[in-house]
Amino acid sequence: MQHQIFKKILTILLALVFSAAATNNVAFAQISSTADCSSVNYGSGNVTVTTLVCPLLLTINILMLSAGAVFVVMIFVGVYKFAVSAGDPQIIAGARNTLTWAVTGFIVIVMAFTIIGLVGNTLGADGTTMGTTAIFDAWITTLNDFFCLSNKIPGC
Amino acid sequence: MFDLVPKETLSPLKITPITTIGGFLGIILNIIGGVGIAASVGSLLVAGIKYAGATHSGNPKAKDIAKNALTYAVVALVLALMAMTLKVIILNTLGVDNATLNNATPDF
Repeated sequence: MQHQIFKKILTILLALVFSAAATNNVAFAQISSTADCSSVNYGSGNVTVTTLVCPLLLTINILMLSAGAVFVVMIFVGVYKFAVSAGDPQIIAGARNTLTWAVTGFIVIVMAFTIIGLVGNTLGADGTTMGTTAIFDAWITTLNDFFCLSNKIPGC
Repeated sequence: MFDLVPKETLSPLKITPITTIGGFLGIILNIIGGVGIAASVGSLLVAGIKYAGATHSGNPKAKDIAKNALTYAVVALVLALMAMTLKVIILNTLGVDNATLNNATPDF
């Protein structure tokens, strides 16, 4: 009975995650696709939107990639276990466990990245990408003015 | 003197440089995937031979075990092929382009 309820909840969550991802393009799109993170000059001494946000976006993107890679690797761990089981029911049960938890873990990770996207959207980031970082603009300008971090401000 | 074999064909080890993290992950996953498919095909072969032997000898317990092994060897092979497709889908969605993935096999 409990198992059935868990299954139902899991199915609903899965459907939610995939519909959110499909409609909002949040979790699966590479987050930094519009931010120009390829030509950031970290040595200039100026604190800008890109010098603050690009490392964060890069980290998130690398984590997403690694999550996908680890998921595929865990599937192959299950495949190895099936392959070397030679009909042993205990090893087969272990392999099935490995696959179950690999899928569960991946769903949780996808949900986590969806939450990142949803929070970003709610706080005013661009609808399809968080790379534009509109919400950070005002903060950074204020910080620059306050600490005289930008060379462009006269009198600094 | 002339070379019997052109020098460039004698180069012992040629490895394409890895420039992106996507290419790196692609190479790792391709190696793991290749070994996984090879392992499942090998186990399919071994289980098939065992099943044939058990059928021939008429030992029902050994036949059951061999049948189980055969079933899960097929499952492993299907899963391995599925995971190779899944790898392409996931890495493509996360921004690794197909060209990087297709070239992501080590040249020995």
